Amino acid sequence: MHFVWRVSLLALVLLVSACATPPQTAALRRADIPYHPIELGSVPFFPQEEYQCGPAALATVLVWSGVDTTPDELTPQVYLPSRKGSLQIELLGATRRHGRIPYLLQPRLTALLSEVSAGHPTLVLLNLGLSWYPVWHYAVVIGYDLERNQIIMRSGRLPRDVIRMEVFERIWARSGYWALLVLPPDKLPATAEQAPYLEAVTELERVQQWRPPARAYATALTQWPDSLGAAMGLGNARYALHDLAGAEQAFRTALAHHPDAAPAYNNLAQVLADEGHYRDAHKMVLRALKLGGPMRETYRQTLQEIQAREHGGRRDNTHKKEK
Amino acid sequence: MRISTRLHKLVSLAVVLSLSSISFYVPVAQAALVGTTAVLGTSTLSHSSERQQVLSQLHRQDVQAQLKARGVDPEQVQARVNSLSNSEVHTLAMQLDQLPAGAGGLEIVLLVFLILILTDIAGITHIFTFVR
Repeated sequence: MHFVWRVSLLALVLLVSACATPPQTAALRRADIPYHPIELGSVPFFPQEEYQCGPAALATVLVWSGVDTTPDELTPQVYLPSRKGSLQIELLGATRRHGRIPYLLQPRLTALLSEVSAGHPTLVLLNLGLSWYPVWHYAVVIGYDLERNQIIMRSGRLPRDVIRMEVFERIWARSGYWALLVLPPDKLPATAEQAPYLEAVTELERVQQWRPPARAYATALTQWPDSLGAAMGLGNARYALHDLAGAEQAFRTALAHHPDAAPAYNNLAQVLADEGHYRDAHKMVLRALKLGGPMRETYRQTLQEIQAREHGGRRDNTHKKEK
Repeated sequence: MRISTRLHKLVSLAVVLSLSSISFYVPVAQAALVGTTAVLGTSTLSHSSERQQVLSQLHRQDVQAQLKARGVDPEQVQARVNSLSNSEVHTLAMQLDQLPAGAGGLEIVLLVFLILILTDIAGITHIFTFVR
């Protein structure tokens, strides 16, 4: 009896609470989101096998971004057997391993819908269950319809899971509105912000991939032409790719917008020295030293190295050097 | 016991790092370039950076061991951990078992089944495809 009473009370509470529209869905009516329905039909679909929604969802966005892969190939890269699932952080790592930039969206429905309307399918973490009985699940949002108040996802075994916006917001809110964008390096997120985007790109350097970061920094420069970080990143990536002329150009771009950027003088000096222009290199590193800053020790090293090379003649003309 | 093992690990790692050019992560492999992370201010290249690199290296080993213990193919653990940022590795090292693991599989007892049907109907959860 007691039990029945409790369950009916719970049901009542649920019905009452369900009437309230969650805040972000309510705010959508005033938001600046394209109103017409969007569905990205060309996004591939990989039906999920038991517990494998991580690899399936990740394969969906990776293949869409131009990577040749399958859920089976991704499973050993993200699946955690003891948890019978995949961790969010490991999805980021696997994305980097495929030369793609993992970009986490602002925790807002408007950000998510802006990306989808820009043509970018977005991977989300949902808790389909309750906070005290979590059912964690990855799905890929591929469309929405504001008039019908719906979200469309590739999810589990459903190629087209259509759910009410309010329901989506509730189950998405329980993951802290976690949304991951997986883009090729020549595309920027529609909601990209400079600092987090550049940070996401530099983390690709960790897996020793330089071509995608070089491409991404160049893309960032088209959006933020005076970005010091993007220009420096581009120069460093090109340097790592043995493209001295390209690196020199990038560091000069950085200095054109930021004449006080000591690191740019230092790196330019290094490139010039590698190109055999010791005199110019010397001049540049002296400017870096004059400006000073926390990296002063590095500039001093560069100076010593340039001096050694000047005195040693054209001992070494390539940019590979011994320490 | 645990502390002495850790200390032992730390010392031996420091020795290894200082003696060899073992490739732990350096933003740009060459000596005198200022790396992009330093320009962005996302890494602290101060006096403590060496200590932090050793610490981060310890965290990476720790996470590798944890993943192995949780059934990940030993041949994969290194590549998996290498692809993560320092702060991501730190998060895993501290709370690997508390983080949500997206799975979508369900093992439900009867009471919870009933409650979830109700919540599905109420639009609070989204589990059963027959409730729409």
